Amino acid sequence: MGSERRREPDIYIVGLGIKGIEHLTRETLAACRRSNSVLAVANHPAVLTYLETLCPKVIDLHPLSYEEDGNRLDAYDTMSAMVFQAALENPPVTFATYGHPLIYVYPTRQIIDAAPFLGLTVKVLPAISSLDTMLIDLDVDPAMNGLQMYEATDLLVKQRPLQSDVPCLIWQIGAVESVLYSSAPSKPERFFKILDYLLQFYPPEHEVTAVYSTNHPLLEPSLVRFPLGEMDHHNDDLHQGLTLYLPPVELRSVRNRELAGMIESLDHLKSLTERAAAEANDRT
Amino acid sequence: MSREAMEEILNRSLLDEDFRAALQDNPESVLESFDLSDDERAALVSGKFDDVAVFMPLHCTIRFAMITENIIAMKPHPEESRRAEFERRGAEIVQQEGDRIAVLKEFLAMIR
Repeated sequence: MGSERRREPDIYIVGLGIKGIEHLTRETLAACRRSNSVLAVANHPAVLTYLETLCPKVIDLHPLSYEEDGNRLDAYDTMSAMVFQAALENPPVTFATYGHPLIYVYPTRQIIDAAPFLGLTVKVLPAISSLDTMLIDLDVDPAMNGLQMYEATDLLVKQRPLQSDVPCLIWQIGAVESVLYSSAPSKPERFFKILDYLLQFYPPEHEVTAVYSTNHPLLEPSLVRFPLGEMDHHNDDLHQGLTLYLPPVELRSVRNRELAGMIESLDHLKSLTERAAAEANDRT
Repeated sequence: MSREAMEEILNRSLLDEDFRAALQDNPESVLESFDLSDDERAALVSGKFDDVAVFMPLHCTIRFAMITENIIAMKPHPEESRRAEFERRGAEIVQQEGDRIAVLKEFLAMIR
């Protein structure tokens, strides 16, 4: 009566991290080694070179990623279809994308949704995302004041409310107002609407930071600080891929003083826990 | 030519830890053997991302998730009411042989 052997998935979905090959996890390396092919969107050619030491067949999907002035949906469909084709022909395969595989990655969502209809199994592995690296670059711990984050266009289109006493990350600020891809620099006008919206919650003199985590171990991250009200003058700095960080304007005060007074009380903890069971566990 | 040198330096330093350590310890000396302009050399020595990005396309562009469907969609997908239809079409695709890219793309659009 041995335990049932865990079946290898048909598709591993992994993230390559942000900084070259430095962020690859051991389980990601193992997945690549076990795969018959790795289909990858890497942020450096050297990452592909490294993946080739793990798996004999590495397919670079990056040329499919970005088409000037194009809606990238067709490119994502092609990527996902290529992963499925490889998995149907010779599983297991790995789909690897830089960063974290479930943070701002549409093809991985497509693959997870569609795989069951094709009789394919998927296993997603965690990875270091740009959220992780930005928290380091900005020296922010979400435990202190929480964290709110939105995609820039989504924020504007849905007019999501912001809390000015909670640290805020606005992703993809440089691409705001369009889902089409362009490498052309933005005009100041691109930021007028988002600036007007942010000024409903933050004062114009509030210092914000445009952050871009480094993707190379030799280089430092890019941090550009300016008063929020001058954001439209920084159109040259706000390239695609940047995130805008808005620190809290003020710290939120305690509203429930009664509870705040109890959080270090042992008696209060005892009232919240099954003390007898915990003591029995401690003895064993 | 110097663009190629920049590429070589950045790629090699990702894969070769000894080379990277030498660059970090003594960048001027290591970079002497590469065909770089003074500005490129200064950018690499500075270690500043934006300085090096002037010469090399280092910035990754926007990520994948921002598509119109994500932003305006108000429905969960795949649609539960069409599950049987998706299963039937998926099974047909699995039975096919050869290049299935085109039919797989149609299928992905169908379940979107």
